[in-house]
Amino acid sequence: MKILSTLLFGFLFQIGALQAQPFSELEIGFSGSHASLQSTIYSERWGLTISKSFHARTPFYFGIAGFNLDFFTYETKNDVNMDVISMNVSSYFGFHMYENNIFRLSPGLLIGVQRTDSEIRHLSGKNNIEIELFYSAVLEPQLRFSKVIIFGDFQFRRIFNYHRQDIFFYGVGTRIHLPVPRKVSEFIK
Amino acid sequence: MSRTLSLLLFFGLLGQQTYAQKKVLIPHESITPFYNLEEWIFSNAGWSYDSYDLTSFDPFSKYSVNTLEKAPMLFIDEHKYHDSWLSQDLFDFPDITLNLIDSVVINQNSSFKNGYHAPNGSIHIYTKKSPHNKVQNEFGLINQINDPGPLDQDPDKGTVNIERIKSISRTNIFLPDFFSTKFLSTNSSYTRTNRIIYDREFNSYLPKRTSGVARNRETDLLLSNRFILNNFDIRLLNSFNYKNTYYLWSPLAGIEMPAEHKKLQTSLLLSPTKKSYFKQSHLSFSFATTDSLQGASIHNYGLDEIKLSHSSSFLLPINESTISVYVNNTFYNWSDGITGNKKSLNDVNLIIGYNQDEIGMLNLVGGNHTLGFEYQKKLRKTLSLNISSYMKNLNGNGYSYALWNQRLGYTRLNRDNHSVTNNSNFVNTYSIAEVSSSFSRKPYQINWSLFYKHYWKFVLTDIDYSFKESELQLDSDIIYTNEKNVGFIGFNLFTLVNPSDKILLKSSVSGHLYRYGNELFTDNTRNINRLILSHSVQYRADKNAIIEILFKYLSSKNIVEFESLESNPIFTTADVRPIYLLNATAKTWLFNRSLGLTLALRNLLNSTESYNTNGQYYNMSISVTASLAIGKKHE
Repeated sequence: MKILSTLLFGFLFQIGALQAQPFSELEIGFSGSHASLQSTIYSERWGLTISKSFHARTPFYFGIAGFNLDFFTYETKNDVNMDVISMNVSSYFGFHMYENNIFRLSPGLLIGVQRTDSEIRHLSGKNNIEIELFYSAVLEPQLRFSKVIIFGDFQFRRIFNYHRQDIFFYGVGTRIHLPVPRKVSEFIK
Repeated sequence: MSRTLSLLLFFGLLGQQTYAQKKVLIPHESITPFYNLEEWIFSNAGWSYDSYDLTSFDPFSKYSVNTLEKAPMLFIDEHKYHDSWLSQDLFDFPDITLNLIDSVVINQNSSFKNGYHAPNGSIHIYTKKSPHNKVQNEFGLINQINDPGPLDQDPDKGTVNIERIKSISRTNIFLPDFFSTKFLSTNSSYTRTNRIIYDREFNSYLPKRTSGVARNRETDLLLSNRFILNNFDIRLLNSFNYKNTYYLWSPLAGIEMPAEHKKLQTSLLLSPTKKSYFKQSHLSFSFATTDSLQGASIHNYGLDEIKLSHSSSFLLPINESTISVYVNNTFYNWSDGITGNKKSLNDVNLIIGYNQDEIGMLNLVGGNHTLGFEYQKKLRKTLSLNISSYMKNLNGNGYSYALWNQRLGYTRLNRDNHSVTNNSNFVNTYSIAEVSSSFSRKPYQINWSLFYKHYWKFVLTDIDYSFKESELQLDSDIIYTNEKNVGFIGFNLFTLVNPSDKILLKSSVSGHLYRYGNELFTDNTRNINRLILSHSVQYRADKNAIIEILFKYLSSKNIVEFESLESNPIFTTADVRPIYLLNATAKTWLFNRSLGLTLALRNLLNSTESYNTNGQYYNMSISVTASLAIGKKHE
């Protein structure tokens, strides 16, 4: 929690720098990341599939804002536990720490919820949907080629279940840079 | 803000509050979301409060240490609102969205408000006016940590899933051309979460009851109208509150009060449109009924309550001074459908005030339960003095009626003790001296007060619980005793600094410097935080994008009632350690401020608190709110 708090206060000192006009650009894309459970109580029961993510980013009043939509599955390692499907929805806040013509380094925060669903609870008749808070500290090194962006996805995620879950993600993705017509960005504002 | 000032001027003309220190809360000055309006007000007032269900917030107003009289009086657009039920501490009022609120004024040190005597202070909620037709809708979700997650499949952790802790939906409609109509509808639901439902080793009789208890649902409807006739200005306020499958949790995990609660209130304010000695009349009627839930194993509720309150104000200017006369009365009637018991009480007061700039303001109150005076004087431009003394007979509040006649939830309460309602020996006699100051010069605003309250005679409520393992129930004993010469010294400090258009800093600190009296008294005051500190930093990157960080510190306290149960391992400890809270909130508006989006993380520094049912309030949670306005952009 101290990491998150420190990052939040860090943002307070960074947000003054307007990176571009709000909503003047849009980056959309996807990534695939290897997900590794760091908490023994979970990792001894499940392994995680590749996380498939959809990303959107736009300049905001402070830094960069956007959202992530991630899908991955908890695959059971034994006969007791069942597979658990997860969908993760999160808001992104970040900024460009370093930027030149081809390279950008962007730290950020993802704050969102994880929705999990498992077959066993279907069978037992219990409410099978769980929704839980998570945050991720994100680091994205980016290579920019005209309208195409190749980026690395490094995340440390904490999911606040009763027993905390820590997951480390590392992978690669691509986003397309789209200019937003001025009329549209003004309308959104 | 201009409306707030005009309202304050209005009060000044009534001659009541010229010297009183007020704290004015302006909704748009803060973006940090709260569970409901009660929490927003009490938190910003710097008061100590508890919440066991994140729906009801139980405040200790500035001057109170007493469990019998601690709630302030509430006014909505100057209508006195019946915020208690059976005169218990269920301080409860409509969950009005902040979108509809212009300001909230907390009267810090004057006990006469709108013709009523409010010894524990008062809260005035003023709703906005809109010159145009407008519809606003707000939807919010608050998710709390600690769901079992995939481990729900672990046989040791078999429990019901708790997917979210609270959802809120609010709609308000302005129709200014149709009798100044304002309408509000609020729906909220809440899911309880607590450590004990996850851990099988605690799954004895008491915790078992919490599983399967999924939600509290609450609906508030509020309708306000105004009719301006030739000679009179008439304002009406109607409200309906419905708590469906409502479980009110009190400090002990075992005490639940499963009930269905309905309350209807209608209120009328009449004031002349022309110059007159008669200033205002207020009439309010409410009917509340509480029944056991359908299908409950024990039919332990069947209570009806009727309340009727009235006040009339007259103002007589004589040379440079003003004499004011107020008459008020409140009539209560309770009936118990199970025992057949009935009880009625009538509280009548006459208040006479004298106000002259050089002398100050003196109010005298005489009634069948209250006798006292209050004197206020401005010592300097920014410094005020307030001295008051009261004798209040507690048999006028009937506080313990429900506790004594019902088996509440799973707790048995001993009925063979004293009854405050029927005993005229229970009298609180006290004096208060206070100095306060308000200083405002851009970019600073500073308010402070230092007060001393001495009880010459104090009715102390000592609740003693014991666990009857054989019957898996709690036995409870309430003992009222008369203490003498007890009291405390307290203080408040609030500062606001606005160094630039982009940054707003707010700090407040409040608490008790010193408490004195016998051991029983000082023990029982440990349920109030000795020190509450909060500090917020708001950064406005743009008029449409704001970030706010709020830090709060609550000093340690005790849940005194727990102490007798500490030896039993299924109950938690009485000590509540100091609590540090950190909230981070971001808010943005889109589409010409028609759509407002808020994302907040509450209680970032806190891990799970499992020492009591209050602990869930301090759990970390994520809050997401969307607010859509049609008809006119957000203000």
